[in-house]
Amino acid sequence: MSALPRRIIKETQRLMQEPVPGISAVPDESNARYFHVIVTGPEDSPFEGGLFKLELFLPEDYPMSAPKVRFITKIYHPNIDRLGRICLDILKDKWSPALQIRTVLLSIQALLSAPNPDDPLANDVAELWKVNEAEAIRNAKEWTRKYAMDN
Amino acid sequence: MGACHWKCCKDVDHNGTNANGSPSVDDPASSSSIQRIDDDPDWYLPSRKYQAKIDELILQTLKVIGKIGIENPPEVLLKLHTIADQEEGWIKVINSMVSVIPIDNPLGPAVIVFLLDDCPLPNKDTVIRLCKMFDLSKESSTKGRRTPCQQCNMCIILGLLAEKLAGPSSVAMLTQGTLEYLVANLPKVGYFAAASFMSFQQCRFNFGNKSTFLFPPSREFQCFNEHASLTDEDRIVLPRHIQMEQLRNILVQEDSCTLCFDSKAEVTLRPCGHSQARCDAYSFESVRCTFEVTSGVWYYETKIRSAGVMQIGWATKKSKFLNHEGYGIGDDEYSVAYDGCRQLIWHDAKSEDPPNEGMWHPGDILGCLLDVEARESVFYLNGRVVAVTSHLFNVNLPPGERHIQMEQLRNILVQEDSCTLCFDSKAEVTLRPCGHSGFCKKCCVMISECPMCRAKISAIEL
Repeated sequence: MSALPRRIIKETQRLMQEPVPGISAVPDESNARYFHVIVTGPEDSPFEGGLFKLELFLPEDYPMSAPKVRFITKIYHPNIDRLGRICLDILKDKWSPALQIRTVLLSIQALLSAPNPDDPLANDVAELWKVNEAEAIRNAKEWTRKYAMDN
Repeated sequence: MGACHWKCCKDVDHNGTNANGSPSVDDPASSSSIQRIDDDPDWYLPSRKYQAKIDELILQTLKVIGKIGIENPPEVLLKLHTIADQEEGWIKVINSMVSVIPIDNPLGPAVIVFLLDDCPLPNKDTVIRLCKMFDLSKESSTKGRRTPCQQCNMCIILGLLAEKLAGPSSVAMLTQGTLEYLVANLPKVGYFAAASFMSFQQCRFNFGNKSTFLFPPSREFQCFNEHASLTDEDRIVLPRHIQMEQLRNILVQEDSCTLCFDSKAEVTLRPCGHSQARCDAYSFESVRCTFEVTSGVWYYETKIRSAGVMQIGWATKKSKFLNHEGYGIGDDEYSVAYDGCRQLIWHDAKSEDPPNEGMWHPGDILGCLLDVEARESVFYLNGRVVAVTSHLFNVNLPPGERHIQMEQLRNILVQEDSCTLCFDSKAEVTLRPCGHSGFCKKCCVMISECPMCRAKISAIEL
């Protein structure tokens, strides 16, 4: 592995020194491009009270290409599929090298507050979210309790 | 990385002969043409003349890829990379991969993944051109001139591109013709078509172009479902009668090991209590046992079901498996593994030849012995010693050292006026027409839109 780019070092420093409230991102001991992330479920969302684990990997050409991010904790959300893959434009075609790890994680937290069933990744979840939002929210709360609260 | 392939490359370049004695490059004229690809500024112009040379480079890559360490790409790869840098060259490289990579070489898909990973991604027009060249339709899958092997390579390439280009380009690739082509290919190349299909489906969800996506007729759909369940069912496919939870219970109750899955590899528990792992993905998937041993002598056996590329061995808890980056057992300092396909011992992503002959075949038994007191691990093939290594025990990293490294990272100073993208060089340019600044020249040549406002960059002003 080549030397760690200064950009990644700088971002890592800042994440440690000025952590974002509700988000923790810690580089792996053996791979400084791999981050262990925990995002707290936003208040007034069905995910409130949950702690969601994610993994974030900075590819070789970061920041020219987006970080790869995935939920490890199971989550009931129309834009996140069963494998934890996230449908978020800034992780795909709307990536800009001016975005950072912290802005990406904030966007993901915002996505929890504002699910978008019209641009779904998990089709069955999105469908229910559109037809019967109350039940979908009940499911999301149930999953949060079951998978994101046990420790 | 073995010294061998460097030698081969050099031989080809300077003497026009190949140490491996491949007939195609023995001809001095042909190898001097390989050299010319780099020098001739017009090499990418439409011409069949270079296609054969690229075919040759691909086959050479296939030959050396077994010895490639992750950090040391051999010369032949760099050449292909240069060629694929231009649209015309990229198309040619893809074309060559489709036509020359043999289906029975277990390293074939690895070469495709490696090259696509390494080459610049194509733009939408190039992708559309490629699809036209592939001539994707139901008819072409059955009546086309292409062999099953070429069909298989095409499916792998389509799937990888769909995944990499997630977005408008991938949607553009998924025409009715592409879809019918993949479906018609299911009975023939099975998994590869299904995997490709799944990549497209994934992208369609992201970008919602519903009009191009029509489910095939019911019989074929059934067939598709059977294949598709290999990849998308909660990461791991177990026979219907054994649920994940039960599997865990059985293993824990018997005080044996638990298996840790975070990949597309499929693990089944056999009635005899053995577990069986299978992987149909073309990424490097890993399965690990989480039972810890700290002392004594331990031994396990693996029956090899197919002669493909696999790394089997011992890992400590610190060993990281990253399937898409190609990291598995033997690819970091915390693990050691044997691969009987390439016949190499792997440790810290470096390979070495084992002292004894050790090519494995389906039905062979690989034995892995770990002697903690003697500080060595031994690999056996059908009971015969292939290699003895002490790699795993030579890691003497004091527990705190990694933390110290992180501490040092924290203290690196960054200059105030440095580029806000890389922090390496001085910020010295302004983008036109938007007027945003704070970037260095090096970063700006890699982008086409302003990182701040996404305005198209028409000029970079010093």
